[in-house]
Order: sequence, then structure tokens, then C-alpha cells
Amino acid sequence: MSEREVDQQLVARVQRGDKHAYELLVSKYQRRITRLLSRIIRDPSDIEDVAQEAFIKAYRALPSFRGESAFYTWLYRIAINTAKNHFAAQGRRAPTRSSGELEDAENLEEAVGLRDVATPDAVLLSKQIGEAVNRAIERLPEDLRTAIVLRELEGMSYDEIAAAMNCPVGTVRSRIFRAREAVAAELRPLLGTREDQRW
Amino acid sequence: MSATKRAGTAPLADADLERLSAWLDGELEPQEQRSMIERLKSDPDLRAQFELFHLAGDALRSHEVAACHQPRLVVRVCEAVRAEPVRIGPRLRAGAAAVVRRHVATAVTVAAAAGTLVVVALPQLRGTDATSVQTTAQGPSAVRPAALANAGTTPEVKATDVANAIAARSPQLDAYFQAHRELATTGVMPAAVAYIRTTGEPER
Repeated sequence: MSEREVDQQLVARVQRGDKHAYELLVSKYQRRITRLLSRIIRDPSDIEDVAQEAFIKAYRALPSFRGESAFYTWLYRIAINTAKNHFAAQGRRAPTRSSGELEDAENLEEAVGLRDVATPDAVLLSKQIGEAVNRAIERLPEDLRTAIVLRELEGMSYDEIAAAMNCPVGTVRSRIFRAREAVAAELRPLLGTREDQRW
Repeated sequence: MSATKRAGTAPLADADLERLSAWLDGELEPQEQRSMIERLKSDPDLRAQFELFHLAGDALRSHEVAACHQPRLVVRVCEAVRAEPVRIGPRLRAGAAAVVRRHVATAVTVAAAAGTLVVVALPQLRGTDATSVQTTAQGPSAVRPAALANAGTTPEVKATDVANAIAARSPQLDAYFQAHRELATTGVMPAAVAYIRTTGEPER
């Protein structure tokens, strides 16, 4: 079962009326959607409003989602359209050369066509997160570091990682968990200092 | 690594967190997946770990994405979603309709079968139909055209009247019926025999 299938499982639950399952999806994708919108919309308060609207629209449209694409791809398109509508409602055009350019930003992380309108706070936080992650990764034993990199950056399955590292799948599972815990522990105080912390 | 401490409830064991980590990667067995989702719905600490593990993943892939962490957005969306009516998927709607259709079809079929039983079988089990006897008592001349005209309307009338018509039109059968009247006072269809006797005698 892939990560996409986990999303599909949550989507199926939402389609059966389980709202909590949708909250898990929101929690999972809020940063990516916010990042996407931050490259389109200048005003940070507008970004949050548009992101909220996009998630609500997606919830309302979820009964018609048939899983032909990944949930995130579908959500991404809704967020893009919501941003377009946001500009249209304000009598402005999206700050790109054409509407097609927004569509082409499917691979957001690699896209350079969209402007980066991050605030100084966001830039600082991004830098701090980068340093924290690098610190955590450097402290990890090599086997844990390799396992988490193969999983999170290369997207390999546990079976593939086990084959690559020549160890049982159970060991891979344990190594990835411990690496995640270490990275999360390094991030926790950083984000815990924020007013809106949840943990 | 120690278990995550929390107030009021049992601490999250490393085994729970390891299962959570595996679930995020889609590496749990189906039965464990279901129980993990149920636990995530009811356990806020496990839910917090879910968010933290996702944040760690995002941070590993992109610092910029991780910096867009907006917990307030999640709270706002969750509140708005709770205020929304429950959305049911089309497949489920179709499934529910199919179940209703199936039950209705079954009920209609049973009702039709019971109706058929009442209309066709019960009169035969009871014996002579009083209406048929009364009708035939009026004489063959009155019955014959009516029988032929009504053929194909009600099952009881059709069966008896057609038999009557055949008997009236076939004089060769009279001898046969007469012989049987003497020998077979009762039979498989005593009502029909009595009926034939009643209508056949005036002809002779």
C-alpha cells in the first residue's frame, strides 16, 4: 500500500461521512497548499483565507472525487482555481503571465515561474527549520540517516529500502521511525515557540 | 527512546508511534490501518504526533514548505467542516439505492406470488366456484356466447366456460361423459364434472 493509497483510504472514509478523516488530510496538506498559495498571493492574511476556502471547496466536492488522480493533485487544482477566483473577485488578474502558467506549476517545488512572496518572518523560519533539520540529520547514525533519506527524499518503499540496505523490513520500519522522531524532536522547540502552537 | 509523556492517559508507547510512522508510509496491514485511523480520531496526542511526523517529512523535503506551517488554518478548516452537512460519495448513494431497489423488488415479487396463489390456486383447492355454477344454471344458450366472449378475462370463468363450449360443440363426447357420470361421481375436479353434467343434459 502506497502513501497515495493511504490518502485514498482517508478519502473513502470522508465519502462515507467521516469528517475526522478529512481533518487528517487537511493537517497533512496544509503546508503544501499554503506554500503554493504563498507563491501566488501576496497578502499573508489572504493566503490563509484562500487556503481555507480551497479546503472547504474540496470537502464539498469530495463526493465527486473518483480517485483517478492523486488526492493532492486534485486538491492542488482546486487551490489554483480558488486563487484565480480570489483575484477575479477583486477585479484583478493573477500575478502571472497567463492562467496556463498556474496550471503548469504542477511541480511546484521545481517551478520558478511563480513569484516567491514569502514574508521576512517566513524566510527566517524557513532558515531555522533548515538548520534544525540539518543538525538532526548530522546527528543520526548512518543507518537511520540512509533509511529516512531513501524514504522521504527518494520515495522508496520499505521493501526496496530493505533490499538496498540488506536488512529485514522490520528493521527499516524501526529505523525510519527513530529518524523521524529525531527530526521531529529538533523541530518541536522551534515551532513550539510560536503563538499558534498545537502541541 | 522513551515513550511520549502525556497527562491523564497512558503514555504513547514507541510501538504505537512506530506503527503510526509505518502507516504514514502506507506500510501497515489493512486491519492495522483501520485501527490506526480510529485511534487518530480519538487520541489527540497521537494526532499531534501525526502532524509532527508530517512536518518532519515536509521539512526534510523542503524547508520552505515546512515554514508554511499554519496550525491556525487547520483549526479554522476543521471548525468550518464540522459546520458543513455530511457529504456522501456517489458510489455510496448508488449502493444505498441498489439496496432499496433490491428490497422493493423482493417485496413486489413476494406480493405477486401471494396474489397469484390467492387468485389461481385457492379456488381450485376450495372446489366449485359458486359464481360458475350459478351462471351455468341459467342454461347453455345463455352461457355459450358469454363464455366465448369472455375467454381470456378471468381464469376461473375461462376454464369452465371453455370446457362447457367444447362439450356443447362435440356431441361425440356426450356418450363419453355419460359413461363417466355413472362411474366417476368424484374425481380430480368434482366441481368440473358437476358443471359438465348440468350443462350437458339439456342438449340431450
